[in-house]
Formats: sequence, C-alpha cells, structure tokens
Amino acid sequence: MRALVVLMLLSSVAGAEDLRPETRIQRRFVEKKKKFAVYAGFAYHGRADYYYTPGIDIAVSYFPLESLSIDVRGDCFFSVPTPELKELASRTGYLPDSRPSRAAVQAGVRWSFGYAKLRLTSTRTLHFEPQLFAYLGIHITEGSSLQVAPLADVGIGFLVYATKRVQARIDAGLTIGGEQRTQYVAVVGGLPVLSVGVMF
Amino acid sequence: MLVILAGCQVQLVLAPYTPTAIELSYSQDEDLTRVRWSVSDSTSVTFERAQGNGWVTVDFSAAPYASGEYDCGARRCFQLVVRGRVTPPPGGVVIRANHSSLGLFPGQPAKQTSPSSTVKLELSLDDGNAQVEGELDDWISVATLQRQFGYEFYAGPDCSSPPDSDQPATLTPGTQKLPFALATDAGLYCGRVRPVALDHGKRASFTASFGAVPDVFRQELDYRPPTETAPIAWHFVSDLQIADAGRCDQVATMVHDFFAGAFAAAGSVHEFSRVDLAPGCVQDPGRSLDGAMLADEVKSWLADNSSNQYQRPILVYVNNLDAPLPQSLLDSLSVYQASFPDAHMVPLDIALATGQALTSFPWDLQLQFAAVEDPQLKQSIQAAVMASLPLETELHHDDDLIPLMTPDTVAAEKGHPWKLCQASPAIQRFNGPFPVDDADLTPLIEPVTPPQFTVMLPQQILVPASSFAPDDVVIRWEICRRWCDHAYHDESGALHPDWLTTPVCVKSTAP
Repeated sequence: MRALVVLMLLSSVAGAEDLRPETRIQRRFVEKKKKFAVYAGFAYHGRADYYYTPGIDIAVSYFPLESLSIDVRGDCFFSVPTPELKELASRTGYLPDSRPSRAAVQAGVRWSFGYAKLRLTSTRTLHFEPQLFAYLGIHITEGSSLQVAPLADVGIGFLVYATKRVQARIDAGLTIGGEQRTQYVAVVGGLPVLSVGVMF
Repeated sequence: MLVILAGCQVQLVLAPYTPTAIELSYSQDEDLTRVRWSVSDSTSVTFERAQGNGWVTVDFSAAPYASGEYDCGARRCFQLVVRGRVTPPPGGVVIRANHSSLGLFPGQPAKQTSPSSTVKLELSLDDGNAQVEGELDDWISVATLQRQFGYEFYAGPDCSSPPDSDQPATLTPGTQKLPFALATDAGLYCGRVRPVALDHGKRASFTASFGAVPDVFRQELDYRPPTETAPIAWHFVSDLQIADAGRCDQVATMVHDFFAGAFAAAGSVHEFSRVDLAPGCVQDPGRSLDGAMLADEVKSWLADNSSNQYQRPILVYVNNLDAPLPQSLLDSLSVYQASFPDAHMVPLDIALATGQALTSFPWDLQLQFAAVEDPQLKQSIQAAVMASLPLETELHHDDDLIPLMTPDTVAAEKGHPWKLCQASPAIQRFNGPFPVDDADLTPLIEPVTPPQFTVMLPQQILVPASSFAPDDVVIRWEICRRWCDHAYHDESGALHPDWLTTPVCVKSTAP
C-alpha cells in the first residue's frame, strides 16, 4: 500500500512538468541598435608572399540597426620573412617581388543574419550572432618605398557576447587587392581577425 | 579558415641588397687589389668578403686606401682596397651582403680586370717657372673616395734618388698647381708622389721628370711715324674786269675775305702781299705777274718760318671774265710754277674764275666765279678749302732704320737671343745696319749692332687732313735669358721642343 501511494505521488509530479511550454520567446541578451562598439585584437594577413604577416586590428562599429553595423577598421602588420625566403636569398641572391604588408585601412558593413545561444554549463549560456561583412579600403606595403593599393575584404564572422558590454569578434576574411610587383597584379589572401570589444 | 589563393603571382627578382657588378682589379705596382661593387639598396646592410675558407666583415675604415661608399647615380657603389692579390673562391662569390632582417645575399661572380694604368703623373712648369702644373691620374680614386698623395720635387735629370721626405702639403688626383722654388742651371727636375696610406703601411712611389720653360719676357713697340702739317701760306691775285669802280673794290675785297676766312678755319695761315693784275678792275691785255719774285718770296718766308720737310704754298687767282688768259699772264704763271722744282715744295694753284679763264691754265683747284651776293660763292670756297686743307705728311721712308729696343734693354740683355712674335705690318729685322736672315729666328742682342727694323708703309705726302690716315706699326718680341733650348707651350697651348729653333713665342699674357 505504501508503495502504491509513492508511485501515485511520483506520477502526479511528472504530470505537472508536462504542462510547461516547449518553446519560450526571450528578449535579446543585448540590444545594439544606435550604439557604438570599439574592438581591438589580432590579425594575420596571409598572402603566400614569402612573409609571415601578423598584425593588430582596431575597429569602431556603429549599429544603426540591430542587425547592421557600419565599421571603420585599421590594421598594422609586422611582416617578417619566412625561412623559405631567407633560404632563397642566401642561395641565389634573389627575392620574391612581393612586398611585405605594412598596414590596411578599411570601411565597410557587417550584417548579423542570425542570433543564437549555446548552453555551456547549467549556469552559463553563450550568446552569439553569425555575421557577413564586406570592407573596402587601402593596403600599404613596404619595399624600397611605401606603396598604397586598393584592398577589399569579405567574409564571415561571429559576434560573441561575453557580458552585456564585452564582446568578442571572430572573423575569417578573404582579401583581394592590387600590388605593383614586377608587374601590377591582383593578390588574393586571407585575413582572420580575433578581437575583443566594448559596446557603449 | 579561408584558403590562401595567391602565390602564383610571385616572381623572383634580383634582391636590391645583392652585390652586383663586382670587379676585382690587381695592381702589381702597388700590390693592391681594388674591389668595387654596387647594390640597389644598402639600407640595413653590411658586407662580408671571402677570405680563405670563410668570410670576414668588410671594415672600410681599416683599408689602406680610400674605401667605402661612393655616389654612382641611382645605385649605391662601394670600393674596398685590400693589400695583396684577392683571388675569388671556387664559387666565384667574393662579396656578399648581410641584411639585418633578411639575412645573407651572395654577390654575383666577380669579374677580374687589370687596370690600364695605376698612377699616372705628368708635371710641367708654367711660363714663369714659379708653379708646377701637375696632372695626377689615380686608379683608386673615384668620386668622393680620393687618395691623398705626398709629393716632393728635386733636381734632375736623374730621378732615381728621390729624397726621403715629402712636402707638408698633399695633392689629390686631377689637375692642380703647386708652388715651385727650385732653380738649377740645367733647369731639369724630377717630381715624386706617394699615396698616403691610412694603415701607415708600404706605399709605392711614382716619379716624373720635367724641365724649366725658357726664361723669356716680352716687349712691345707701337711705332707711329712722325707727321707734319704744312702751313697755309698764300697769295691773293686779283684779275677782275668791272666797269663800276666802286663795285670793283667791293668784289675784290669780299672775295679775298671769303678765302681768308676759309683758310683761317683750316689752320695756321700766312698771307703774302696781295697782287692786283687789273688795277681799277680794268684788265690789260699784256698783264702778267712776277712769278719768280712771288716764288722767292714764298721760299724765303717758309725757310724762315717753317721747319716742315714738305710745303705747299697757295696761289689764289680771281677773274670774273669769261675770256682766255693772255699769253703774257700764262707765261708768268708758268714761271711761277717752274720756280718750285723741289718735290718737297709743290705749289697749290687755285682759280676762282669762269669759262675760258678756267680752262686756259692747268689749275690745281677750279672754283666757279659767281656774284659776291650769291651765298653759294662763299659756301663753295669754304667747302673746297675744308676738303683740301690743311695738308698732312707722314715723315717715313721705307729704308729708315728704326730702333727696336731701348738702349737700356740692349745693354741689359747683351748676348741674349730675341725672337719676333708679331709685327703688323711685316718688318725686316736688322742687327745694326746688317739685315737679319729670315732663317735666323733668334738673333743675339749686341750693343754694337742693336736690333733695328725697317718697314714698308704707304707714302702719305701733303695729303688733305680729311683723308689722311696715320700708320701704326705694332711689334712684339720676346727675349730669352735662360733655358732657351727647352720645350715650351705657345699661345694656343701647343708644345714645342726648342724655343731657339721654333718661330712661335711662349704662351704669355703679357703684354
């Protein structure tokens, strides 16, 4: 008898949980519309030009819409020759005609095409937005003299919210720009950026 | 992560830091190797040189002679001077660059050359033997990398025993003038140059011989023959035919005054007493003048009052009548003319007449008679006188012997040869009364037969001043005191081996 009572109590508790809704509509974790954000982080400009090109990235974003921001960003690169380049030079006295990257200044837009969150622990949830971005600007290269050429950068990124004010951006960009080498050529490269920002 | 797509567009080009145009030159004279190379960009670059089986850093400051970077246009050029002979290693790379971040860049294979000349020295003395003009060509010096050379002069002609020391000053490659104070009887000298070694090591000597230029000085004579102006000494002979006695006197006086005024304007004037062949202006068919007496009067006055060699007394004859002159007058005029047989005194006969009076006697100057009231009469007289007077004479004979030098010069330069540099017009040289043969370019100065000359000039005797052009004879010569058989440069810079046997003079700015 006691066992039957316990079973009935358990079944009544299970029936109460079934009454909860399967889907909830929540307010966004952070609202960005008409706010600014400043980002700083690390970049790497890979162009298969016989140079390692790490750099720092600084960007300012303004969100006229919740899902759209206007960005101005600048990159300062610290190119160093690859071991292959040094090997080539020391054996032949020849160098590739590519020019090491020195800096880039660009302006563009970013569009958040989604919003998601990921439960990390029982108490921690990660909020993030996948984004598409497109930038246009200039690319400055070194050589016997500094040279300025156009540069475009398109790609996909993730805006990840650490807190309501602190964000991280992870970008994977594809660049295409001009460069005066032996001839004037178009150069395609990759520009991944990892930066941290503050919104206000 | 995006795939990097670029890379196929990269081409290999010669690095701007790679040493190129590497040249190895060895000089046996100095036992030095000159290494030259260039790079497009020398920023953050040092250089290394192959030595034995390894490499040593190039230290330009330790080189014995001018080494380092020099300007050669758009590229950066370098020179390194090394003692001894540098031979390329098996790979042929003598120089390589070491870039601070990009690492090593082997230079291109070196090209071995032999310098066409190493140090070339030419010395010569200037005209005054007070300065040496040195021409120094150096195979090491280039652009701003200039070697300094010590130098010394000493007596020749044997240049094999130079002194140990150098002058305190140094000279650099190129052309320069150096002070020179040596003077020997032979006038033959040597010059020795030695590069100044920065490492105080061994240095080669280079010598050149040179000689004193002939010790000459120039003189000039601007000879202008003396001239004289003949005095205007004149007679007025009136031979008028006028019925009105009052008019007669008026015409005679006015005509006389016209001539007197014109002569006075032309120069120094003396008028002899007037002659009136037709008193009261009535011509006598048998009239004549006393030509011999008039001529004597002229000669006497000129002898007393003029030292001129050449004279031309004037007779002015005035006749207003268009009629042939009577024979008695013509005869007396002929007597007057014949009274001057000497070519140094030739009368000037002027007639103011008309018609047959002008043509019946060979007047020297014919003027047309007109009414004294006609202003053209006075003007024609003035114009004729101004065109004819005064008369100038250049006192020169082509056989005149003219001294070329002053007695002081002749005495001071006794025994020295002299050479004619310029004579305009040409002259004939004389030693005293003896002509100098044209083949004798440099006769000696002897006080007993001093240098003289004759010159042919156009004769100008009793020429109207308006057409008289005095002659000017310019003569330049030079006298040699020492080293007259030495080589020298003439005005055009051409070199001649011997002053004594060469017709042209030494290059000189004086006079």
